[in-house]
Amino acid sequence: MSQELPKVGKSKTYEPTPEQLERWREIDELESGAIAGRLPPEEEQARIVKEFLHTDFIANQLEKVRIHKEKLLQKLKSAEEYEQLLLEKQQEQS
Amino acid sequence: MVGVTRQVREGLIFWAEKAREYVNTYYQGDEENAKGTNFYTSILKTRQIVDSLFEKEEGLRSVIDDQNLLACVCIIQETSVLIEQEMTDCIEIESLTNSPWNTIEHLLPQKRKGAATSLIEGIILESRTLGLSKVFKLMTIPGAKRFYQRLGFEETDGSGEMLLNENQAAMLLLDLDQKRNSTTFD
Repeated sequence: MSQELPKVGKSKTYEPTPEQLERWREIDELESGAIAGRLPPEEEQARIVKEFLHTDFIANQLEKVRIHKEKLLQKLKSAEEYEQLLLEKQQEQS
Repeated sequence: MVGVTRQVREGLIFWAEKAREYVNTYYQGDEENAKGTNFYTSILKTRQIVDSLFEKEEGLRSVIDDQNLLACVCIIQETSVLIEQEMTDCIEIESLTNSPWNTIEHLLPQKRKGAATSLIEGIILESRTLGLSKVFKLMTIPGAKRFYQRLGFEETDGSGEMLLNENQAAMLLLDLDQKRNSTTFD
């Protein structure tokens, strides 16, 4: 004689209201336009988009990351110099 | 996903490739033909986000979808906002966009819905976990206002600035939880 076992796992039991269904449907529909943030003036927009699409993305990013890396190295050098100065002052005091 | 990982960087490189491909395929190779579309604005936002990453890496938040593709990214920062004549701490969603295939009007196999909503949900949950501000701010574009309104954001002064207060954020989390547990949306 077989006995039916209870189903394992979480069952989906929530019954949404018509307002929720309508809101969820609308949110899904509008998702593709979910953009946020300030936009530059139209002429600037055209320049940015053109540059993005017509320049080699990898080469462009490589150039930018190298400039960024150089700035960080300068900052690191400055922090190390300051650290050294503080260590010297600390030794003078002791 | 919090911060910039290799997967995010590879995802953004893929977005750039796809954006170029879609302009060639669907807009006769001329981005001018895409002006006024969500796709065009998403290209613009993607570029802004990519460029600001050098300085704002830790502010990047993203969603990877069920195909293991980068579906949506945004940059957040802690700031403050004037509420009832008082400066209140808030999390600003500074820039947000969906992937090119999620924003283009054409039906593409990679297209998925819900990435932006998931991203905002993740930001609210992260903020709660870390004990950060429970107020969220963003600057919407006209075409996206209705979407953010439906999530609970309210416009402040007509400039496009929208706020989601603590109660509205809690309501959104509850609503999304109910949606997941609903028999209608599997």
